[in-house]
Amino acid sequence: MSNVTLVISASFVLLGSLIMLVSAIGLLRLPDFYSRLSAVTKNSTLAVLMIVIAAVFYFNNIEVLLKGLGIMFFIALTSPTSAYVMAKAAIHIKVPFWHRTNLNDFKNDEAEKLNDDK
Amino acid sequence: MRILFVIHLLASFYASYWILEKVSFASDTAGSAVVAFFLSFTVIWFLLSVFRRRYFKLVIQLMRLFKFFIKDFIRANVRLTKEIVTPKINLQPAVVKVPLSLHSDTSIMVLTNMSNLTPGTLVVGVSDDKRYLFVHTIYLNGGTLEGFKSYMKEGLEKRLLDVTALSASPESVGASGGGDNESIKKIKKTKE
Repeated sequence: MSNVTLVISASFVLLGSLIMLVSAIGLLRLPDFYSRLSAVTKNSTLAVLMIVIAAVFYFNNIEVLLKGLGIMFFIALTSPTSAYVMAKAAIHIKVPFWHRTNLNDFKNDEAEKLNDDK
Repeated sequence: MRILFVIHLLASFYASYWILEKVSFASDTAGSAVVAFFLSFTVIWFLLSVFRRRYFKLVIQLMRLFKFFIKDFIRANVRLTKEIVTPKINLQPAVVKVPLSLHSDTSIMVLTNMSNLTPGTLVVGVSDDKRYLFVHTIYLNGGTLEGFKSYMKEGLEKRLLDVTALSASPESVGASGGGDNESIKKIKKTKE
């Protein structure tokens, strides 16, 4: 293994774990449930993708490349879907918004209509 | 058209496997596998577009959508990281009711997944008649609700519309049974 791939994979791991740390800090600092959820989905998805890319660079053979592509595809598919389901559940049990949120477009009757599943 | 794309992907996988097996100077590393895949992908793309002219455009639109999405994804992360690390938080959150011009289930799913990963937006719900999307955003672009609506429309949705308009061939609309705009109109007409 050459030194170049080692340096590339190390920097990818470092960058990915830094982004993960930032998303963990954001989970604590942001004001309400919805903004926290959006911070976690975006940053942690990118971080996991970067760590998988680093693994592909480190081993540098075809089997790991194929497995890594599979992992990246399914994470990029499922992480935003689970975020959507959590947000819908939060709307359903009326988790409060932050006080500065602009709710002009989302009046009560529309929220009720969104909750009327049956 | 969709079946053609799947065939295209499988064929280029097989061709890259063939290249790695038979060609003597191709090594067993990940880089050469990627290069072989892209080589066979482009060759089969040009071969297919000889038979179907529209297929050439479809792949180009898919690439443009992908490029836009990757760019937006990176931009979202940089922006959120800056917001979290700097001490003062100045967010401008809002819930916006965005009108949709896509109506099939698959395209709404793709749009929802993609806009959950682009800057600041989080889809909170889809209205019952599939005509509006409720989007929670952290940054209200341009300061007004209308500005954000036009931003959503000009960005991802326009590129997705380009793809879906090309991918729906006249035969598949009849066969798929529901989903696309025209087939829904057909079903409504037969019911009346």
